[in-house]
Amino acid sequence: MTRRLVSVIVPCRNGAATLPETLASVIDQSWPAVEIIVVENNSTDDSAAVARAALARHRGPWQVIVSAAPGQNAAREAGFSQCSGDYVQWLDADDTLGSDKIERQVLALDSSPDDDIAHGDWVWEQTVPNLRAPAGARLNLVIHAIAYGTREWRRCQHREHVVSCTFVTGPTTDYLLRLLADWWAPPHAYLVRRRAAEWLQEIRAWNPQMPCATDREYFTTAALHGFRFLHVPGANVVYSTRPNIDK
Amino acid sequence: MTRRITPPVRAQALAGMQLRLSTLPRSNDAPPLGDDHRFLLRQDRRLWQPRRGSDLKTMSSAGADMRILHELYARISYPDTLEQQAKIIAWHAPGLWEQHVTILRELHRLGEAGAISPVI
Repeated sequence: MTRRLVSVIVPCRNGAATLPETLASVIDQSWPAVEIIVVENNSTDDSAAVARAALARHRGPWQVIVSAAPGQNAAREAGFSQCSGDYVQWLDADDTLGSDKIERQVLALDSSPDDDIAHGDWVWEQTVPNLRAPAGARLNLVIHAIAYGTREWRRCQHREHVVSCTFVTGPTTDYLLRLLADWWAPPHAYLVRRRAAEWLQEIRAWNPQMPCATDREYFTTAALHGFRFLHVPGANVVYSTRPNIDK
Repeated sequence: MTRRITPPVRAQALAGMQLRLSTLPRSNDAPPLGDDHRFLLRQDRRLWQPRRGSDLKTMSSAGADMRILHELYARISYPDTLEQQAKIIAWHAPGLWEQHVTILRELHRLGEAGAISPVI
């Protein structure tokens, strides 16, 4: 049986501190056919060297390319132009995938040819340097960005200064309406079929001029055009925010 | 989602996105748009200054089930887009989470009635 290739595209600017964990979450995926493309984008740290070191143990194809054009979206476009996968996985340099995330979404899309983009549930982890709370404690945390879903934040069991919140998007018959109402999910919660990714690249849905909400425009564009979204239970990812690290 | 960004910058960016979405080609088999889709695609993207809850109650035509949103709205102290304000209201009252469009329509209605003002 031919394994569908998944291209994981990781735009990276000053991601040396987080790249090892991010790339490990890709290398250790249960799905075996994974191509990894790290797009170095004007870093002032040693991101490229860190990426190469982390990728050395990857058994599939990988490359570290340079995109000098400023901005994460330019890096995403550069990464896509180099990829050859049947599916595209977008991944920021400080986020991680659940170990079977890709496998679950590939199998779901393979068995549902009318659907174009898979999406899953996600956990938001925030590092709070001065946090004083016992493990598992429920917190009334006012977050700087509002996301619909549960607002039950708890201190992580094993990390003293990290709080987390699980967002279950669940299935819906009208994903476009959710996107228009800004029910946000991070870009790595999705897996995009190549035909959809190619169309989106052609119209530059990763708009290089957008200073924010770039993924909102990308996925709303997809849904409004008519690409179909499929919820895949158990395909989990972690979205991380840390002080002094821009997303 | 990206780095922390000010309300004026976000509002301008989302207005630009909305303009691009309005001219987007749709595939032949895309589901037709309903009233809620069209409303959200044409929503006001300016910044709006909230007012006192008592003022809003007087001027609103919302039913009793939505009156809580006026109290919550009055707690917001800074100008922002109606969309962001609707999300903040829902964040304070999770029972309203599934009613984003209803809240947003009410905020638009308040704007049309002159109960709230856009920031110049």
